[in-house]
Amino acid sequence: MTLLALAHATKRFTSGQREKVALDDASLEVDAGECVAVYGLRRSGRTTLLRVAAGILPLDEGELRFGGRPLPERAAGVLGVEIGWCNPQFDAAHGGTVADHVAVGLLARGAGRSRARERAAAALERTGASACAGYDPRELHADELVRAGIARALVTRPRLLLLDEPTNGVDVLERDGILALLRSLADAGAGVLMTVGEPVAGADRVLTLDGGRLRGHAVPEQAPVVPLRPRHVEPVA
Amino acid sequence: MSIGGRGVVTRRAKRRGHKRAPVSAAVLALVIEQPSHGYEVWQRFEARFGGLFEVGSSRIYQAVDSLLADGLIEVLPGARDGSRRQPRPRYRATADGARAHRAWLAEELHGDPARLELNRRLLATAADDAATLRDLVDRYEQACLDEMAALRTAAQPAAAAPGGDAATVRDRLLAEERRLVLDARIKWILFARRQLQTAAPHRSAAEPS
Repeated sequence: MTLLALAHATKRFTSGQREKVALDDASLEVDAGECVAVYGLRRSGRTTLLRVAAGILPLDEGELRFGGRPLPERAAGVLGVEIGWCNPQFDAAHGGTVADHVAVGLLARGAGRSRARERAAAALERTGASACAGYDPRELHADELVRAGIARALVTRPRLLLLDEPTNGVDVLERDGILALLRSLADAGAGVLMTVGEPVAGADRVLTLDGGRLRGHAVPEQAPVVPLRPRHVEPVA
Repeated sequence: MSIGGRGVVTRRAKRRGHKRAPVSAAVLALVIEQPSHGYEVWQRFEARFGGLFEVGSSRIYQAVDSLLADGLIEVLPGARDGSRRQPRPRYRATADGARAHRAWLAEELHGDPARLELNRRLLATAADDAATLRDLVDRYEQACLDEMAALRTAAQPAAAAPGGDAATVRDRLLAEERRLVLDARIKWILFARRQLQTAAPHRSAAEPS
């Protein structure tokens, strides 16, 4: 099932007399259960792509659909609920501990404190960040921040996860753990769209973004068939 | 998936006087690692090289026959599996096989022949033909992206830390090299496309429409 469909999307930014085309006729679909990575260098338009996909930025041209319906700018009840924006930055105003930050999305939507706490603990468990629950986010390592950021998005049980460079700044030995987590979330049925500044493992499709132009397999049907799981079966001697 | 496919590598290997394709070299490596019969070799090939080479069991048996004919492997004396109606011979590497494998490895470390061949073809294309160059860059990019989509995460990252078992660490090292090579290729492709975009308008203005 197609979760996110971006069709011929163009987004321009103007600064004085200069105009920058951040997205140039970009088309992309992400299915449920699929992990899609978009490789781009700095200023390639990768963050704009995610902000457009989240419905944060309005398009100048083209169309954005989520779950088969047009997604208007800042649509209520979609971003932060059905679309999870995984951000490793934590605002101290939202709480003191990681558990507070992860629970805040539910509390803001009227959930009771104990239920929000329970769901936050489950989300942290799912992302392998349970041990971080009682820490101040400023005490966490880069990979723990990413896991906590994913947990904060997961707490509302979104259908689509958006991540801007989830492996940026993460120790190389921890990187695969983050990617394996995203792979497992996709295998569990979520759609995952991430931008990356380096090749990453675990994606079903990889596209490049340069000068606002997306290249690669824009829709799942064009993707090569690759094994979803690593084959680690050692033969019997 | 490799750029240009096995055919490119094989033709290059033949020009250099070598008779082995990468699949044969991989089979030789497996037999050096552990004497095995044909079916075991195929199973271990799938476990080790699945995703890098997509070949069936018949190709593995062909490679075994070819290595036998070249004297690079031999039947292990007295090691036939007697529990079957047709005893299956186990193979081990000969001294020539071990030497040939080391030479092949050393040569491979100098570069990826498929990539070099593709780049050579890219540069050999008529410099005036920007459209053809762009098409080649696009195809090269898609092949790299497909290869990137086949990268796998380590199943147990914790075990891959220093001190993990040797096989896991080795797989991890190989995967990281492959990832870094892909990173360099993609960056080269982005550079090439920008170069072509900059250069093309001057030529296209003079070209008939």
